[in-house]
Amino acid sequence: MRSNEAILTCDAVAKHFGGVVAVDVNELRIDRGSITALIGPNGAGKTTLFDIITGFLDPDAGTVFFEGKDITTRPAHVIAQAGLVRTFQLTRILNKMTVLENMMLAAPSQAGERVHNALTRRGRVRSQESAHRDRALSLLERFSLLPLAHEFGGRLSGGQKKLLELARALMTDPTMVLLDEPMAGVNPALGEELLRYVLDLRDEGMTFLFVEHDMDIVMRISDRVVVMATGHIIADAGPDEVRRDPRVIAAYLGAHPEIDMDPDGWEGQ
Amino acid sequence: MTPDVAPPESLSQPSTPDRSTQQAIGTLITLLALLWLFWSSGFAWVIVIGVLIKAGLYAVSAMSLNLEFGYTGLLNFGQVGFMLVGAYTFALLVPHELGRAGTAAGSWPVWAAVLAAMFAGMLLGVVLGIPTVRLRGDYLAIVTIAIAEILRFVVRSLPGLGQSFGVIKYTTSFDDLTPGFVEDWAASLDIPANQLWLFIVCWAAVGVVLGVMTLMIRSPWGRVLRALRDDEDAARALGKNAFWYKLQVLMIGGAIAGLSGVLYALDQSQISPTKFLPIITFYAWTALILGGASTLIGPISGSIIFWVLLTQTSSLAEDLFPSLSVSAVSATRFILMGALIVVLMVFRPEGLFGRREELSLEIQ
Repeated sequence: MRSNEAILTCDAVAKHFGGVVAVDVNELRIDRGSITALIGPNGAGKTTLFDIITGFLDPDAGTVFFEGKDITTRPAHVIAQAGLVRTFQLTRILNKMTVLENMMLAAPSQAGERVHNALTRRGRVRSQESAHRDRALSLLERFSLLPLAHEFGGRLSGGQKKLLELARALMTDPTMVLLDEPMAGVNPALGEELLRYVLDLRDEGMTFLFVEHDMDIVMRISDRVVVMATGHIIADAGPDEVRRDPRVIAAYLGAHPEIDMDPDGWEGQ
Repeated sequence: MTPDVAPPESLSQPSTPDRSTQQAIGTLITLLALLWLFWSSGFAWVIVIGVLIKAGLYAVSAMSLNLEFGYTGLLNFGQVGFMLVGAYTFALLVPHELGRAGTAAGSWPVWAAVLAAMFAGMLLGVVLGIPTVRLRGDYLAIVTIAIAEILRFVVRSLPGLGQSFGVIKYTTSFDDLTPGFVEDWAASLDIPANQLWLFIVCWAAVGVVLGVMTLMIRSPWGRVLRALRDDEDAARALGKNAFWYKLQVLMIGGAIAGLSGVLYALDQSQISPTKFLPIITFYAWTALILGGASTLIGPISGSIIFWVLLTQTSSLAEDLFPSLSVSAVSATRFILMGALIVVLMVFRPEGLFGRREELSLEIQ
């Protein structure tokens, strides 16, 4: 049931670290406007694949296409500007900048980021700044971070940092977002609200690829689930199909025997 | 906290209550240093102006380091190399005499030579930045310190640059620009007119650089720099071209350092390789750290305090150690200076004007 509208394609992408095969992905296609979960045991190569896609690592072989363009060797900032934005497993919040500054930094194509505009076209820069500021504040409100807007990033708790990083990624006006364990450390009630928000954004056409260990979330919101183990993709299908796949159960259950793979048990997670 | 109430300047840091106290203390200490300068020099204007010229030109140099290190996190330990390039470019373009032979040359007007000196500093920033900016900070520090030494030896070896004798009589065309009112004023203070003129130009340069820095740092451009300093990968993930921004910083910082090199040359009657030893770099760094990096006023205040302490502690050293010879007293000043910096780093590691909160966030 694959549509032809793939926004992201990885073609025979491989990365080795010494003798270790970190990633060896034959084919991965992400459909536009979908939510895809990337799961797998620790060390499966999920984050390395993220790094390759977003330009933080160059693969040893293979090609990555985003919106039909080859982005394999493009630098990270060019890929981000093209609308493919990521978050990090260990949050990368700018500690010495306020929450609001973290957000406003992310706004795309800012005139004031050119030093000559900053000196000579101050009116234009200021009006753009106030527009970005309004947008940042409304995003912060949605993420329940508004009361912390003027707090230093370094003062936030782990969960708040996760939230801020997601909000900041959205501030860049992306077409596709790669989230590395977005829900780790986020309180469940707020997480629930965020998931609804992500679903709304998906319905508006945004594409999500996310790594998550919480199977309840994975099974509930994903349109597709991609399972990786030892660098390879071992399953790529709808959530229902994936959780019955014996290879997935073997690979994932082997690494995480505590995870309940019984379909009726998902609610308990 | 009410979320809608935002500070008027969107990019300003959140101010803690003790921040203004700290700024008041910093200002007070700077003023005390100035008072001490007047008092210990016996209200001799020629000494006061002489010290403040040095304070001004090193303030410019320290502001350049502040842009690179304080706001962007780039470690430049070769500041003297940028100053050398600026000083020599200026001195060789304006009318001057070169080397032991005293060959007269140069015909550029002062303003054009100053711009050329700043351009040369910018160029050095590019040449140095392209291969090193992608590397980690410590590597940049090593490369800059080496480049500065290489430049000094190159200047010493090339006959066209005066070799060890250097360049002289390049200040004439600058001195000729001294306006009439400055001459009258200097006469009333009983000091050389060209010294007062240099003092005015130095502090005008401090003012202009401070103004431009303020605009740049408070703009979205400055916000990107601070993001790079905090976490380069985060900035890249948000679409910021880290390499290009750092290169811009080295270019602008290099131009400002080139300007400080011109002022340094004008404060001397001769420039030669021995005037550009690595210690010059560390004077500028000390001024920056004393006043507080990542603050706009810090490098200026730090430079004033540094030069007052360095020049006015000899009487203190004589009183403390009466049996010392003149050269030993001179060395003692540096020991006192070093001790002061150690004390400052223990009790106020962020410098006089620095933000302690930022320092505490660094550790997390």
